[in-house]
Amino acid sequence: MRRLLSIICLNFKEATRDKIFAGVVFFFIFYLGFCILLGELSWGHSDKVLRNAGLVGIELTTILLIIFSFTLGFFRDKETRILEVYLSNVGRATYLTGKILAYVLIVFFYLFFSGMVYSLVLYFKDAFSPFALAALYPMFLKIVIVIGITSIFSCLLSSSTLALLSTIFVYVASELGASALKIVSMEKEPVRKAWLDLIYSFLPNMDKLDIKSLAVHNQIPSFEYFVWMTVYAGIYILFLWLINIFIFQRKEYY
Amino acid sequence: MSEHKIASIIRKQEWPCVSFVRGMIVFAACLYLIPQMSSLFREGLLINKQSVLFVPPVQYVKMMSGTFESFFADLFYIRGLLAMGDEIAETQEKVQWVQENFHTALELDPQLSEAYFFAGVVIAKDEASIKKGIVFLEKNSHLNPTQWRIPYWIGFNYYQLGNYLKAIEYYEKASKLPGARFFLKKIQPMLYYEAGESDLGIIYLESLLNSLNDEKEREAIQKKIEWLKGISSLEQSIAQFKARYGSLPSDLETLVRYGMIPGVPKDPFGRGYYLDQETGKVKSKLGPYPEDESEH
Repeated sequence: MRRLLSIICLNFKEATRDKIFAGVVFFFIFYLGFCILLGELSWGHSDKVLRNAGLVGIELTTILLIIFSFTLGFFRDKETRILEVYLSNVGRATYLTGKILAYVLIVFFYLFFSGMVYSLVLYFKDAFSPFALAALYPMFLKIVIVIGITSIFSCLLSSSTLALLSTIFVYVASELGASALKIVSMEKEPVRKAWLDLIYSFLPNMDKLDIKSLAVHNQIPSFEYFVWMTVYAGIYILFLWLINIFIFQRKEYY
Repeated sequence: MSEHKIASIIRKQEWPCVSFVRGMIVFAACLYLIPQMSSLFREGLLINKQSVLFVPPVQYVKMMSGTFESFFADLFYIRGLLAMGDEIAETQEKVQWVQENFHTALELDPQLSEAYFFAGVVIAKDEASIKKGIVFLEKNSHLNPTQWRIPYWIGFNYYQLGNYLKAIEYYEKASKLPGARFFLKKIQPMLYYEAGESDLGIIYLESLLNSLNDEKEREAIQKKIEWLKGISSLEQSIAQFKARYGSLPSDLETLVRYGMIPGVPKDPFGRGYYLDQETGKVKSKLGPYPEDESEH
């Protein structure tokens, strides 16, 4: 347990001191200024636009942070042979679990602080709504799933560029999976529909883990929906973690 | 150290300095030229670009936006608002362009209800665009079937076109939806009056009176019934006068002089009825909207 905590701590420090983290934070602050401008431009629905643009910004910056920071950090560990040092002291499962948990922690703190800054902007613009903050919880679950996917590709592939691109493609596919299903169901081709149905079932259903469109209109799904969302995300994260451990245990890195 | 070597060192030391100065000169030249070029492009070297007023099909936008559908809706909403300020010579083309953006925004997020107002009412300035506004509002009303303001705006557009009976139809529809303002009910008799259907207005008001419990509201409606009844009875007498003598009376007192009415009824809103010779209609000196002018 102490070793796991050390790995978490080391990775957390490393990632938060990284220039990618600083870059993303700077970009987010810049983006908030852009949100205010968008709000000013949308007479009649300024509040909604401001809330929505802010949430979208938080989500996209967190995803960018996670994908780039995790992948590049993982490959840096490999290239600088720090990975060898780690693995000579801790088990492979402990190392990978620690790294994943460190990024979960980073996501938590990033969402917390960006949520606070976002709330302040909303408050000063008279657009604050606690419902908008409720949308941060499913966002957290969604991004933890993205961490799992990023970790799989980082462990599996030997090139950081390939790992980055693969993660982005899977993320986009999981975002648009529901739309792809709709398109295929319009065509009424049973084989293609069944095939896509299967893919959609295994891809993370990001459309189900999203309440942004409701929250910006001061609406919120039922408590039961939140419970189901949490259970679904929990099982999915466990599934990704197992795949991660399986790959990492077998892969030869040095 | 030989002189030759020292000279070479000095040259080497000078070199970065010369390079820096040259760099600065080039930098300053760029700093001067960039805004100059920019203004040249803006003013002198205009390429005759034809703007393409294209809005992607909404179903594609829906498919491609994933969980960011609402954000894309916002972007199209802003695009619609900005399009209202675009300089497009052809008014109908501009109306079409604005409406397509707002239509996409509404399809992606039906709760952007102000889009109806901008695309259906604000952009409509002449008869053709008012008609387009009505078509837009009717086409998109299914996205917000319980929003009372949409049939109200359709009614308002019909009112602007002078089609009072259609305006009444939509005001009636709006008045039955949740959250509808009471003026939608009160305004209808005035429109019946404008449409020359005062009797229908009285029937409507009498049915409205039965549904009201508030004493003040009942009093206001009774006053309006009395007002419309006065107009209705005077118009009937004018019609009889015209049938008998072949022309309109010069004023309402003529009817009294000819013994067709015992006296001009009292106008409950104050300054009395008069006969408009141009239209042959009885009007009130307070104008057509004694109570609802501000609300309308």
